[in-house]
Amino acid sequence: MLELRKDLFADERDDNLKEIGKGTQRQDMLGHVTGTSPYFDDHKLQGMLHLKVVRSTHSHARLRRIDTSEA
Amino acid sequence: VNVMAKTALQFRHNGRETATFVEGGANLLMVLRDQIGDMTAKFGCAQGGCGACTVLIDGEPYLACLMLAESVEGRSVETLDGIRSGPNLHPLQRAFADNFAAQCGYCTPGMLMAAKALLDRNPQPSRAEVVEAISGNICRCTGYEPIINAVLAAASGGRARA
Repeated sequence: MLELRKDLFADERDDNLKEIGKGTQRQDMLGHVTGTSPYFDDHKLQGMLHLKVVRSTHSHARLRRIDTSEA
Repeated sequence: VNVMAKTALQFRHNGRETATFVEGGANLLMVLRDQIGDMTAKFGCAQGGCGACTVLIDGEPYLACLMLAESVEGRSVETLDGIRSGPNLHPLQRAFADNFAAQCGYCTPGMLMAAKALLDRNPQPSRAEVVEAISGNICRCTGYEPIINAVLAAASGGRARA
């Protein structure tokens, strides 16, 4: 179908565009296939803090205090 | 018994003799990432369900998150960081890029290692064999078709075999 439209717009077309109409390589692809794309968990920063979510074991309770002694 | 006692561990990591001390019960994935600094094995589900941490141990694919680090003593561990030869991409890496077989890229290291294990023992797999080989690796972006096509393309690309 695209081939037919080429005739319609022959005088308006520029087939020597750099990107349009050509296959291209995504910018992040090299990082993905080499395993070097940095994800959230891949960052190790100096003095980085860690967070752990501790959820209540009671579905509808009043929070009175938090014991952080083991943290 | 002090369960946090550290044990000396020595193994080959991408062809290099590597030594470290690991905590009792540490899994291979955390040793690779946190102690050796090889981030190419991905931390996905940590329970053997997604395949993002797939590495090759003596050429066989294993889930690093379920592998007791101490069990690789004296063995050879290969990650995505070790599959290219110098600056040249491995044919599988090239094929994945050419076939748009990665979208977010998080499953890609595991996919590539599972695919490499397949092609190393079966250089000309059928489509069904490719599907079987990557059946333990979950991809939520691509719909798998580009990945299967990439592995088949790498297989028929006639890569030089050592």
